[in-house]
Amino acid sequence: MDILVCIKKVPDTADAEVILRSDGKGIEEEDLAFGINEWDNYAVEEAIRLKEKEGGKVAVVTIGTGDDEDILRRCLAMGADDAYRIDSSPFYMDDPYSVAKGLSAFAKKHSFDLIMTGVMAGDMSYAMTGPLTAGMLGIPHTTLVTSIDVKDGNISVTRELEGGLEESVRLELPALLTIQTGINEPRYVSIMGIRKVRSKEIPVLRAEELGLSAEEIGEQGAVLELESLERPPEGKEAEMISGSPDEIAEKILEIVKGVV
Amino acid sequence: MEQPYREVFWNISYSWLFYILAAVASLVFFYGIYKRAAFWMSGWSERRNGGVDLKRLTKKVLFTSGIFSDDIMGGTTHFLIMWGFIVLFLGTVLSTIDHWIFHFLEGKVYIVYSVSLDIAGAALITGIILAYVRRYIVKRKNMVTIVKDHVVLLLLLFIAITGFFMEGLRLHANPVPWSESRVAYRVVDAIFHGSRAHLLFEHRLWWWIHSISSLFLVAYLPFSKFIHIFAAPTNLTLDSMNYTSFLTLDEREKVTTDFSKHQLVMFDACTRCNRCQVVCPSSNAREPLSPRMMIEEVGNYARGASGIPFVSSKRDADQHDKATASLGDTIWYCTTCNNCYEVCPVGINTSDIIREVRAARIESGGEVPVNVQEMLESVYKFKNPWQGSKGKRMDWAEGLDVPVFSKGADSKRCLFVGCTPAYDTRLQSVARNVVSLLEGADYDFAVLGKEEACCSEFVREVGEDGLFTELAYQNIDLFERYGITEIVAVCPHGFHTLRNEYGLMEDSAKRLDVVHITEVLERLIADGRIKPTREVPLVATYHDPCFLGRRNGIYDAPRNILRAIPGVKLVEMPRSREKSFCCGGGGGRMWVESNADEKIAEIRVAEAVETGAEVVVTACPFCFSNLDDAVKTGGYEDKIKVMDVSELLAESVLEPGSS
Repeated sequence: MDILVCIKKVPDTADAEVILRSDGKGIEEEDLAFGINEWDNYAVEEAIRLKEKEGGKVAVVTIGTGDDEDILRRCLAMGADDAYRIDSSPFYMDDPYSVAKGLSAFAKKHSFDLIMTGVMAGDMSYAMTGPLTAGMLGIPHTTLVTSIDVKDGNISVTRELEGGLEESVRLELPALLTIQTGINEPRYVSIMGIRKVRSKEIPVLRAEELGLSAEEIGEQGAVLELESLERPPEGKEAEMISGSPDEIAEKILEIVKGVV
Repeated sequence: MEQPYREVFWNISYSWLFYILAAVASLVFFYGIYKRAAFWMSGWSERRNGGVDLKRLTKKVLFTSGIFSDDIMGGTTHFLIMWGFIVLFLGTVLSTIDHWIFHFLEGKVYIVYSVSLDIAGAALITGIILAYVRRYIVKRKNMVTIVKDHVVLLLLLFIAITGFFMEGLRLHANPVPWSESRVAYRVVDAIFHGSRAHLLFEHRLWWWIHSISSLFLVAYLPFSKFIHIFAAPTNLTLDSMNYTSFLTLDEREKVTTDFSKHQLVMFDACTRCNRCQVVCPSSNAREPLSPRMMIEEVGNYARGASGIPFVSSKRDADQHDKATASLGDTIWYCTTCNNCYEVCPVGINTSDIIREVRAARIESGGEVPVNVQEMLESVYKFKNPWQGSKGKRMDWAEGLDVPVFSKGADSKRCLFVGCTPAYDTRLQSVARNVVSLLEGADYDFAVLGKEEACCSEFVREVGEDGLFTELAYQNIDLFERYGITEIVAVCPHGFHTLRNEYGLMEDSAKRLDVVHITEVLERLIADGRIKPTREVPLVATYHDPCFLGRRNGIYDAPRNILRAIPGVKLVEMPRSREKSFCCGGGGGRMWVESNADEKIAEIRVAEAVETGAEVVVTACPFCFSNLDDAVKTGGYEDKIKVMDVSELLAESVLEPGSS
């Protein structure tokens, strides 16, 4: 089974102080650490596990700059067979449609049985790139996948729903899945492992080679345009209750009574 | 009167048979030694950092100081057996020379020779008796005896006793006019009776029994525990030359074997004396790690393919690889405190072996504890193990005026703050205190600020050499860029790796003068530049961090700082200095959970509380965190608190609230 995993490099903003850029259309990147999008990492791991079980090959692709090649190499070290970079310069990267156009054009040039993406990317959290790509390719897709089982040319997957519910879905191949975190425990990739694949070639594809024009994928062709980024309004501060344990309990009781 | 002497092969016919047997035994012996040596030489070559330390070697090998340490009886036992064995062996060699090359064993020389051998025989027998007393009467705790140990001891005992039989029988059957071997004579008197002809027969019988068993010992030696006779001195010699198994990434990519030469010798030097396990913090906390078992287990794997008869099993090599040489998760429990190495009489560095297996585990994509993985990913991404963003690395210095290299600070000296004092909110005060104390003393320094990368000491200890190298080079590049020649490290882990490991991969780092902050503070107090004047009335005990103490020999600097503070009364824990008991935080253990009932740090805090101290002082952020947590989880909050040396000093020097 040949699998394509679409990945992206994103900043880690979990603990960092995010500073908005003065034009309001991005964030200051200087003090931020970048790495493979967390969801994508699970997708790559899952693809490699499927390959180890079912045979076939795993390819990874990103639309990015030369700086983004380190996450591709990391995937090669994990066990992916091929890695491709689509040069991002003509793309309007804030629009998931542009990105999906690039990915689907790439997928069409190869033949994959299964395409995986993360459920969403940690930067913009659109969760659209996967479904849009499937739509453009005209293949079935499902999202929020937490387990995959391959059976006679079909796949059965489990989806995570609200409230702890799970849904089982069967899809015909080829198909696209967006992978939820926790589906597996991604393996650790050592620097030595990355060194071992340092000489492996990563082909760089230009949009023209994929049959895409700058108008289609650039800002003028964008379906979705980023107007501005803003901080959410600050909520009320938490109240720290001081005093002896008995006094604290007393105060908490009063607050709870007030709410009820 | 006839000169005292002994006729070799007296009363013995078929002496040629003896030579044939001796030749066979020697062949087997040399074959075994050849196989062992080939096994040792199959490892990769390590770099050597010094010449042989003869003084240390004499102490450790000839006087077996390591065995006497903390165990006079064990030391005596081994000393008697060892020297008894050596003298008796030399006796045989001299006798051979006397017989074949030139005759000199006669007259007074012969008497001295004979008496020496008698004493050696008696020493050997006494030693073996002591060995059994230790095992079955004194019942020394934690001793592990297996059948092979009995074979070794009883074989020696048998050879020594039959030697005396033989000698006594000779003297009975052929009385000599000089005084010789009274004891053997009496013993034989009590056991053997009969005509001279009978005694001559008995002598022949025991001569052959003694000879054959001695030759068996020779042949058996390379395939038994006796190999330590060669492996232990070899290992101690390599150890005294300060060999390091450190490999650069290029070297590591090229090596085709699993272990270094020195590491392979370590496996064969082990005699399972169990001293390592007695001191191991992990074993003490009843976690599944046993350093002794580790050496045995990994050693069995390493020897697997060596083809040493009776010693190696090909199955061990076939069924495992280096990553699974030790099964399960035991390798992750090691704190790399090196207490096992400190007490090992033959110089086995278990944590070095564990590091190798960890490295293989990481490279093979095998089981790595989730927290360790997250720590490594954090170091890769954020350059610190605490997932702290780069922007927050200087949060600790808020409100302080700290010179930063990237902002044009003009200094050759770098205060290497370390990730934990920079990011851990409980420990940021350590960094602040240190800076205030140094600035108060007009001590010139600057910090790397946001550019500082994790020292990655524990990254190396968990076996991620690639990541360690990458981060180390980031720091080395900064040192070069700013012309830094001197480093003052706040954390002993950074101190250790910057001082001892960075230089192994880059020459410029070799020239760095790396000191720990306690050394600087001690010197500034001695020079009168820091004046601890305010009284701090506290009974304090000092916990030696492993990476400051055992790894780098710094025991006095922090103690001298404490002694300089008026009011502080320093009391010592039973396990201090070289014997210090680890807090459980080294070697990546900060990120490995255990299911044991009692945490390693809780054992340590209980020991500190025993001394009656009100405060346990340390000089390491990891020790601080671990001990501080243990004070809470162990329920010692009303008995003791944890402080950093610099914190206590600051109380005596700085105005309250100044930092």
